[in-house]
Amino acid sequence: MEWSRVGRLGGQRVSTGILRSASLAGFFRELRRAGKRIGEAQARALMSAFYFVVLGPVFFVGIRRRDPLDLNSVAPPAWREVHYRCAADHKHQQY
Amino acid sequence: MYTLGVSCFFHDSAAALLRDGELIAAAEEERFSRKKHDFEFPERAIAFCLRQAGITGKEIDHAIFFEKPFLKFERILTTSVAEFPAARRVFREAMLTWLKDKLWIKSLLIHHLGVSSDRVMFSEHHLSHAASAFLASPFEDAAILTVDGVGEWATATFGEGHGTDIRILGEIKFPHSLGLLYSAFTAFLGFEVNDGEYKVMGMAPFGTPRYTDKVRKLICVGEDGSFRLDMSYFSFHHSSTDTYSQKFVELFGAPRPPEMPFFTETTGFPSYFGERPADFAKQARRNQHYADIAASIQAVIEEVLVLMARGVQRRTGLKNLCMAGGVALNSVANAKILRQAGFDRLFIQPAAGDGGGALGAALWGWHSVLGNPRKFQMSHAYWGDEHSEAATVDYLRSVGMPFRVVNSNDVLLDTTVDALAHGAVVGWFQGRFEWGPRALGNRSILADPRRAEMKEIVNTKIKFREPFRPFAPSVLAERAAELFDDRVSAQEPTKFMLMVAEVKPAAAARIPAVTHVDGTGRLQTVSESSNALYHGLISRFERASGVPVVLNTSFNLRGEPIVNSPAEALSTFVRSDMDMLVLGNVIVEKERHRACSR
Repeated sequence: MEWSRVGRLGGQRVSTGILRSASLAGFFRELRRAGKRIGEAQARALMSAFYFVVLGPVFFVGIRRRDPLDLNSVAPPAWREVHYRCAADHKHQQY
Repeated sequence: MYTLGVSCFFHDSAAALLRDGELIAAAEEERFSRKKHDFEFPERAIAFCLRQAGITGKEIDHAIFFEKPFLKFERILTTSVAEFPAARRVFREAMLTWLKDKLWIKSLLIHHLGVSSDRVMFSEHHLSHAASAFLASPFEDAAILTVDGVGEWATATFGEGHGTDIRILGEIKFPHSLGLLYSAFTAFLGFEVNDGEYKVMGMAPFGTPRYTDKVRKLICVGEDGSFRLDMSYFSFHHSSTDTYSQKFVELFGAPRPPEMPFFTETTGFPSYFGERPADFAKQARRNQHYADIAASIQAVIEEVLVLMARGVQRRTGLKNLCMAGGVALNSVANAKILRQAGFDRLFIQPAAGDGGGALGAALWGWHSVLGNPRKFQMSHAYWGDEHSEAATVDYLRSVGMPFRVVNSNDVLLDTTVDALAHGAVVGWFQGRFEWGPRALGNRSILADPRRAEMKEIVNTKIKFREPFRPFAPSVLAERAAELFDDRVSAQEPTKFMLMVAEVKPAAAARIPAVTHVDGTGRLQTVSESSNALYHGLISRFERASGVPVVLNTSFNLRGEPIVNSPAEALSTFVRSDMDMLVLGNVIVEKERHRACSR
């Protein structure tokens, strides 16, 4: 146990009366850490489920044949033309 | 009017601040956070920029992020779906970081700076690279080539710049990436991706490019330099940990273990590796195989980059080329582009990697969006933090380190030159630190280039790094043509150590410590106008030694960012075998050096 707030009154060292337990603080720190780990594990499980349940069908229905990454093309490589966009038109856009 | 550019969340986060279109501060976050290639939001770098300008975040007129986060998010989603189910782990891990931070960059900027949302803008990744090169260059008209790992979708672009206008004309899209191809070999050769690429470049001259045919199986290249990777050899598009596939291993053999010491019959067995192994010949042959692979990928990358640049020259008809993107740090390829691609002049952004995107975004906002005329040219790279003599002295006193202050530059330079000429290794810490990954004479470790043994001493006792890596020569700009290939040494990028030049045969024997095994040097030309003190030092060194060159390597230890503060400089000095530390006008010497120089 330790005094967390100590003041001085007439040169005398006095406690302001608030006690903090070092071991209690450590306990809460560990609890927060464990909570974070559990939260991340849950998020990972949720994302994996989302991947297989939602994105899986998208793959089979829409993406599979489109080859968006150009993995199966046999055409000679070429620069893809970029259409000019005026800077002022897209300055605030995040896409 | 203040324009702040910010880059973060991939690697090398950074901030750059313009006042009325003039750069006043630019720094990468790693220099403050001390985490190499730090990718987090650059709050310390931003705080430094604001401090340098004497303003608060609310006084920023425009804050510009270097890429479009939603486009990048789209690429990650599309790739995750297209690579179903192999990309499940990439998707899962990416979503955690994207949903937590990366999608909210606008809120982050608003919250952190206190600016309103209408003052936050978004450039595009390769447009930022293009702007960082062209709008900082001395050219009014130039072709632009940007090549890196990946931005939003693009991995390479080309275009034109005229005045304040930049037009991107063509692009190559992910996963077909020259940067990621090089990174796959970096990982295969036992180095860290996004960090060890220059080690592959340093290893290449020890090998013979005997596997170029095999490398060409991985990449199909068009006459105009456009290319497509055979993705069956790679896994970076569906894995967050592996960059190459089993098929790649079947083609090139087992990868090099990272802990394996590198030596060949050419290098011999350096004494600091310990006792020469009984199977030296066998291990040397194995290392030679990896050196040959490094030479092969380097040769193919050079070939593709030259084709790209030549194609861009033909298409644009322009005679100046500006380059940026991580691949533009390949100084060997840059020299080949100059010689073979048909351009007369080259400019390369010194912070060519993602950090430079912060500057590019700010310049793009100021010129291309706001329509302001150009007045800034990047003639030097000293845009980082600096520390006063009083702060240095206070710090040294606080830690009880003996030091002396010299009151004139003449004494400072003479003392340093004397130490260098007598074989000392000197930590040289002056003024503002450099923008970009190169130490250009303000945060440098210096040594005498005439002593062949310096290469080994600095690599192993000072920097604790791989023995095959070369050192750069810092040479007086006006004398560079006497020692190095004059076509290269006259180019702008040599100011920033971005091109490799052949050392003239007569000079190679005079400066063996900075001449690589293939007879080249990654030179830095130093002019009086860009760094008067460093120029003065090299001039005096020439008077003492007869060579207008010093050996220059970055002021850091292996795996650490380059030092920023006197405290970091002192810590590096104490932990290494350096003899003397010069912090502004303050000199700190190791005991044994003091004893020798008495």
